[in-house]
Amino acid sequence: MNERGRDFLEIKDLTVEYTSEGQVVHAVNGVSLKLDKGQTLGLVGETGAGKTTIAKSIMRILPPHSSAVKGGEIYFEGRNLQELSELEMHEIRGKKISMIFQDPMTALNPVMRVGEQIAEGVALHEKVSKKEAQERAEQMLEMVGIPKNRYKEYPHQFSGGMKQRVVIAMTLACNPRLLLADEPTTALDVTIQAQVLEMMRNLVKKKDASMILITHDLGVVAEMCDYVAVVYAGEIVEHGDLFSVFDHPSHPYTKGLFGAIPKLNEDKGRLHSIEGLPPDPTNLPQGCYFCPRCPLADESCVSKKPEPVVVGRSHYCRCGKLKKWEANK
Amino acid sequence: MYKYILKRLLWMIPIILAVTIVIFTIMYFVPGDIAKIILGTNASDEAYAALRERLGLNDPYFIRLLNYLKDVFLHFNFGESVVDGTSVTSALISRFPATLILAFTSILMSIAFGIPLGIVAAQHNGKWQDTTSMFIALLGISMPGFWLGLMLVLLFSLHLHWLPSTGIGTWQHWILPVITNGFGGIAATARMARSSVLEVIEADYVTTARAKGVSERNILTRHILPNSMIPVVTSLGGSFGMQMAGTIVIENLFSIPGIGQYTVNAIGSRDYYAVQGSVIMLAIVFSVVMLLVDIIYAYIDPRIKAQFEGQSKKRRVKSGVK
Amino acid sequence: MMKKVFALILAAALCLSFGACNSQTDSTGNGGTPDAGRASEVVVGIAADPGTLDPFVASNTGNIATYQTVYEHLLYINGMGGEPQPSIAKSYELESESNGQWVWAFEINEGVKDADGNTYTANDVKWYVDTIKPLGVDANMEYIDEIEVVDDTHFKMHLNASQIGLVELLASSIKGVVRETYEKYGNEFAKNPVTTAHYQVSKYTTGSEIVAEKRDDYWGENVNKALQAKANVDKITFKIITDATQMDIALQNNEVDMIPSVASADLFDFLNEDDLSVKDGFFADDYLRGATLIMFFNNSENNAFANEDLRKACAYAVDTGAIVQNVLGGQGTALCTVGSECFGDFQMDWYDDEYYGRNGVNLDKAKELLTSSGFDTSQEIRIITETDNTIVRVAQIVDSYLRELGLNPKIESYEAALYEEMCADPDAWDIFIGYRGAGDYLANMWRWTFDQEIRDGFTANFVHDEELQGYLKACLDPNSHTPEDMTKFKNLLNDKCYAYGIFAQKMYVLGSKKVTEFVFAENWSIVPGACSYNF
Repeated sequence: MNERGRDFLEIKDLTVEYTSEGQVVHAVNGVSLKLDKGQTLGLVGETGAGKTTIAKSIMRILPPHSSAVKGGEIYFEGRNLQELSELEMHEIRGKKISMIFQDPMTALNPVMRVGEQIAEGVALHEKVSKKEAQERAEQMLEMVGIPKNRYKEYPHQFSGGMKQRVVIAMTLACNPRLLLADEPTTALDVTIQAQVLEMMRNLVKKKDASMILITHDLGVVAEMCDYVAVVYAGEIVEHGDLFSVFDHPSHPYTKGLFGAIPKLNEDKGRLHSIEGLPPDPTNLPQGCYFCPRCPLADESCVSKKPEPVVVGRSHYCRCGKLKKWEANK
Repeated sequence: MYKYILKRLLWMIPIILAVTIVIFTIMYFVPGDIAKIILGTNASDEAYAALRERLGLNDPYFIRLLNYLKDVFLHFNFGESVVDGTSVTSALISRFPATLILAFTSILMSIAFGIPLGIVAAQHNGKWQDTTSMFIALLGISMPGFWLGLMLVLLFSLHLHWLPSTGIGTWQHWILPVITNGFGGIAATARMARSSVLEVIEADYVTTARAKGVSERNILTRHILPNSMIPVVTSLGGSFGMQMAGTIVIENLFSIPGIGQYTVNAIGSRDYYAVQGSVIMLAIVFSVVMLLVDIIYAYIDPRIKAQFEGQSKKRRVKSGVK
Repeated sequence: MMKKVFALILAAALCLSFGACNSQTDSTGNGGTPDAGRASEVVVGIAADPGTLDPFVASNTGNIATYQTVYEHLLYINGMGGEPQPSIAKSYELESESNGQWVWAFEINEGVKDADGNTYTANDVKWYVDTIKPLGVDANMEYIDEIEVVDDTHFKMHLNASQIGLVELLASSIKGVVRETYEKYGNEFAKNPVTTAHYQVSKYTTGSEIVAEKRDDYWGENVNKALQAKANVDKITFKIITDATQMDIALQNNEVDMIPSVASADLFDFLNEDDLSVKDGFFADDYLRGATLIMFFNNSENNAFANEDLRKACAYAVDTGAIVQNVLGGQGTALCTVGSECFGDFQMDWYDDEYYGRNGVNLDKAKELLTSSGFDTSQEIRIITETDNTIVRVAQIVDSYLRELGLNPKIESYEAALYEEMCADPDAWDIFIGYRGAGDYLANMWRWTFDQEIRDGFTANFVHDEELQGYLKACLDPNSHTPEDMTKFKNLLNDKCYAYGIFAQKMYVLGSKKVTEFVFAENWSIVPGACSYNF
């Protein structure tokens, strides 16, 4: 493991709760992650697994009234983000860490000109004149493939794909070190998806930024990421190098995910799916969260939480049955 | 955009025409003998008949309607009050400013106090600021205008002698009527603003802006406000129109010579021309206000502006294709 | 760009409205200029705006309150049923009477000049009457056949009727307006009339106030002895206050110096509860209102109340004394006939006679009469009223009395315009309760209410009784207007109970401590110029 000082981003034991209608929702339960500079991490999991919450916690933009960070630290460039003041966070948001949201349709302010929305971010963080901010914004537009004479137009005049590009331009305008992308192409159709992803990859490489890419699409992960972390019920159940995880998925859940992907060269009558449903986050089971749906489960899984087990280079997995399985291989 | 405005202005003409015909017809059929009102109960039957004849009340419906339409639309003359012969047009013009001041200041107060109150409530949803603001709003909506007005007069005029109790003349005369009139408006606007802002506060683009690092203040002014003000503007616009017609209670209480009082008195004494004139004038005011509201929309929300312009753009494209 | 345009429009609208607001007032500076030293001033609260100050309009609350100050008349009558005092006219007498024509010869003062310096002559009287007659706004004018001009200061008034007080009524309504002046000002006259009166309007803000100032060049100085001609104060401001409670507040607040009448609910703000004396700092006068509240029965053929016993039964069942206590708080008198004692020709000994339920409900007698009338008590009795609060309260009490009698009444209230129509329809009501009155004589009040000639042989409540009509005629004729004749009519009326008198209300006129005496015109409107003050 790397020393703390050289880590770019490290999340330790993050626990986040929501309150909804009087009940406590355990969204994130002891998540730990590391990310190096220039690397892309894919966060994979079902809807509601807690991926977005993790990202929002890094930026500290969780809804203030209904959520609470119950434990853990998030270190970014050596500083614990949880301990910074609002003012200090303002400096970081948009400049050092940026986030792209899922739905481009609603991510842009409908009554503000597109170019201005980009320039707003620039003017905030760089000490430049209005004119320079405008020029920077125009540059960004060009960079994402939008002619700069569309600066003065409004979001409703753009298609979905172009809107997402605007969002990307907005996010990258201040050259952030860390980019959080929350399902950036989910709302786009497949052809545009490929374009946007390619663009993102190029830009990130160009700026030498790090990225956490949240997605439920393993194909996207394969294209874009260096590392993968699988999230289930607010926990990381498997984490490792891309190739290692894809070649040797270890956690039963991960295997289930891969198993559910249809392959072009196979003839399948019916898709595999994982039996059962994700657990109720207000009422999580004792022991392993995946236990109720796991084909390998036994009594020890019910009572004891599994510890991470190393299964490969930079590749670990939380499963109590693993040693046994490895042994049986 | 100018084409749109022109179109709307042109549309006003048939609307006002329709309003004129409708109100004329209503007044024609309303029961009530105006001759008895003017002469009192003690006159002879011949006197009543003679007066009715002189006022032209015996002519058939269409003749009277046509004459009236001619007067109003060709000569811009609303006729003379049947009761005292004064020109309805000049009466309306002289009374218009008073009601306009009341209506206008009420809107200003709604904007100045109601919107901030609603925003504060929405930003602190569920906390004491929210509860307090909504409580104040509840008070404002529940208190009847004349009661509030009288209470203010008793306190500020009778006991403290700070302000005059009735009439117009100096700016001090306007303070109590304006507060009384505006209070209800502040309450309604606050509620409207609160619910609208609550919706917008949850929106993705607000989170995006926050993720960009935009300060809370700028998030409010550039992102939340412009998007949440559309329903508020609608309600204010409609409210202004209602105010122009409905300040009768305040006008009566504070003896302010406005249109509300004029119209209600005219209705009670079946003063046909006065009532018709008032209604037509109000219809015009309302139409203009609604047009202004739409223009404000277009200014706030470019999507709506595009909609308005698109209606004329479409035509251009169509005619371009041969 | 749009922003700027918008802001400009907004600013312009605001400026316009404020500017227009200020230009509402017309000031021509007509009339007297205040002399050196402090001008004395009095503010009078009035309940409604006259709308216009033109002389050729029907009377309304607003102009009744102001016209005694703004205009002068041929005669002035001091208070209800009071002495006619010569004003513009110097003298008048009946010259001849024949065949339904009465000719009155008038002499007017010489040198009566209006504020413009024009002289008022008999020609102006003729012009005034000729102008106002066809307008139909003053029903009394139909009694004048013509004005015959003899010379500048003499004319003859040809009347076609002669009821008591008629010529005084007419002469006190003919205003001092010079034709030349009126025509010169045209439409402006309605805002700033130029008249022969001692006070001239200097400012009229529609809906808000009318300011009248005393002029120094008044023709009548030492010549016109009528009270109306007096000017005990330099400047009179009539302030329009439309809400009754605000009127009382204004007096308490010293924003006005006198108010014409006070709602009985607020009476005790000004009177001491125990002895009803006036509180310190105020001055009060009271009078018995000429308009009295009467319960009329529908005497038309098809109506149940054509039956005399039924009418009397109802009258015995209603205690008018109790109504006075309950509704007026004791501030009034229960009537003993149709009409109140405030009139000069009322006979005080009439109070000695029995009058149905005046001194208490006589339920036995009422029930007896009800049975003998043969009326089906389950039938609904429609009582109609105007929407006036006092009348409605009285109606409710009458309703409960009639229920005790075993009847089935129902109250319907209508706004003024509809109410008149309903009353004229014999099938629309069974009882109506309303105010009736007159300005000068009880006989005239009876005429307005019971003259069968006005409505084709029927009274307003559909009575046809030739004997009654005969007695009425006797009362109206100035030659036979005696107490005996009055009593004859009253006895028959009471006996038949065509209508049942309820009450006459006591009205308080209040002033600040500046006022030491009130002076009234014939309809109880205050004449501020003639009142006495201590400044």
